[in-house]
Amino acid sequence: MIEITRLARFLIRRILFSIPVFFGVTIIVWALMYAAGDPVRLLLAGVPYITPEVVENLRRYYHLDRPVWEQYLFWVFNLVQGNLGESFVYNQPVLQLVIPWTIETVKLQLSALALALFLAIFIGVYSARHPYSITDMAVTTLALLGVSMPIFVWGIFGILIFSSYAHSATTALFGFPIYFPPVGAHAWNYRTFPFPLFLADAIWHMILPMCVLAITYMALYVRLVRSGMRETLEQDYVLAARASGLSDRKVVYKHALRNALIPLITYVGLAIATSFAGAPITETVFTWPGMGYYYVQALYSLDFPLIMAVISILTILILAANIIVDMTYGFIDPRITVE
Amino acid sequence: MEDAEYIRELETREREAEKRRERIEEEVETRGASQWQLLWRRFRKNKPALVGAGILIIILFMAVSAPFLTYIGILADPNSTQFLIDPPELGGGARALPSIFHLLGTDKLGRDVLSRIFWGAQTALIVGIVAMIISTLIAFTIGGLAGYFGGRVDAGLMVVTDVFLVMPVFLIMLLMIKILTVVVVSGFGLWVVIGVLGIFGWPQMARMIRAEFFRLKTLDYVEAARELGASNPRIMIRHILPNALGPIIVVFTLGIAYNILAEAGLSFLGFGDASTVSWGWMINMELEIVSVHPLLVLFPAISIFFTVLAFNLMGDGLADALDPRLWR
Repeated sequence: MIEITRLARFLIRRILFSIPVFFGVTIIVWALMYAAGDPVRLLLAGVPYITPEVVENLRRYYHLDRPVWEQYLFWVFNLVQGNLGESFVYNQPVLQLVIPWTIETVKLQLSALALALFLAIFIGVYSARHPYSITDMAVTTLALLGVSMPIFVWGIFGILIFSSYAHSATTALFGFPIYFPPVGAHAWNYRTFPFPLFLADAIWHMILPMCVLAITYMALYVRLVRSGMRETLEQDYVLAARASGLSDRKVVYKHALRNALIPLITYVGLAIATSFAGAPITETVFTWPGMGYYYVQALYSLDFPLIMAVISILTILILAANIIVDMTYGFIDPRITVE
Repeated sequence: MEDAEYIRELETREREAEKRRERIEEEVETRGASQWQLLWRRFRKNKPALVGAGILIIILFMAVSAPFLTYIGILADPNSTQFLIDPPELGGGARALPSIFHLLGTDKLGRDVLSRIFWGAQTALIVGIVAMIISTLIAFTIGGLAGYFGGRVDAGLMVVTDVFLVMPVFLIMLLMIKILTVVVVSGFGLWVVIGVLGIFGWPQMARMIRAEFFRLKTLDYVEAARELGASNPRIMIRHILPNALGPIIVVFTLGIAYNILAEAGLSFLGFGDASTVSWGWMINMELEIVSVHPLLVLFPAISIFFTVLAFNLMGDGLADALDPRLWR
């Protein structure tokens, strides 16, 4: 009971703290877009037969005739009511557009993160237990490779090998292609699929981008797990656990791993912001219909409500992820209490 | 008689001076090495870090020699499209394969790829280093003030840092570059990219500097400096900063690697500067043909990879060399 109230207090405090940060981010973006000038002029560029009345009406329609701070407050009030405005380009409410994109982005990022963490823990623990073995050397070298190569290069050559070349090679060999799709998150007619096929189709489309993302994430995590594990395995309590006759697996995975994971969790908390923000590059390479891809498209057309919506949703996601990461500290290490 | 005494005295003095000099020289020889010498000795033992330093020297050489080599005619002009009309037996044409005339072939517009790789090294290093200098200055100001003064200043500045740490930085960088290049200023392409990378690259470093200042400001020698009447800026810059320099150098080196990757990413999305020679932009330009001619994407990709790898290896090596737990 005390635990629950403490957790609730922690949550409320963190959420209250997140609110000024969220407004800080949105105010910065708002100021940037205000500096870009009059959106109506951009909207009407190239449209013939524009009368001053049309311009005036459009300005009033988007509330551009008001002072900038009033526009911002207007946007905030609408946001609270769940109204993110109307897209300039798609002429639809932004919220309707953004929700499916958010789902696609979160789906891709979280599954890549989970895959990366899962593999990183096993590989990192293995190479910490066999330091300077051939596997360990290979893993450390590959980890450095993963950090130093830009993610889009992984993506481009991943598509080239597992999609393009694989398609032509398997067609020539077996008469039918075996490959991973390079584009999109679903087949074009996925709405007609029955559920099992729908799921299989979605996973099939996700494998290539997920693996590419996981490679770059994993590279960092493996190094953290390895160094954390090597330090922990030299501690006295691990020796004590061994001396008390516990099996090797139990010592490593039950006693040592928890302590070794703490730096990793700190890092994941920090890295979530960069990984969500890095979405434009991966999603552009794979034409993944997520927020990052459409954000870049919105930038090309300067669709301000859409830009604003994507950035605020991503900020909320990052803030939420940070709170969750801070909460997992308590589960992994009982000495750290959420305060 | 007096003269002889005088001469003897002179001789003894000279002998004493000689002895003193010898003692000083001896002391200098046996005195412990300076911090930097110690750092270098530890760094030298780290093989990967030395490899990184070696790669970095090669890339520095490429960057520095590119204008000179172009001037004396060993490298082709990176922006010249005259090879487009050269006959194929002279290695000309668009997207020509590597030949003796163009060691890495030519690109979409018939420009020499080798020359562009050399000039791209210059761009990458300038972007990485200058943007990181801007970031470091901001981080030092904000982190230093927050750590040194503490209290309300610290709380206020840390909220600002948290805002920058939490925002989806890459998206806002894209927005800012778009707005700055398209609407507000034009013709400063590369400097816009550098400025934007610098403005958004400081929060993690500021946190680190704040923690260091927090730790160092309570030490006795800082108190002594304050008692002697040193002003706050003087204490911050002359007394605390040199002792916080180690971790700053590590973050600086790793930050350069991050900036080079980020610049490549921005160029890849088409938000870089088309008028400068940039590896990321080269990839962006040749992407449409990658399934037929992957070499044109591979060369700049390898260049980015090795540059970033060099800075990462150096940063890791420096971190190991500076880590007090490994000093023994």
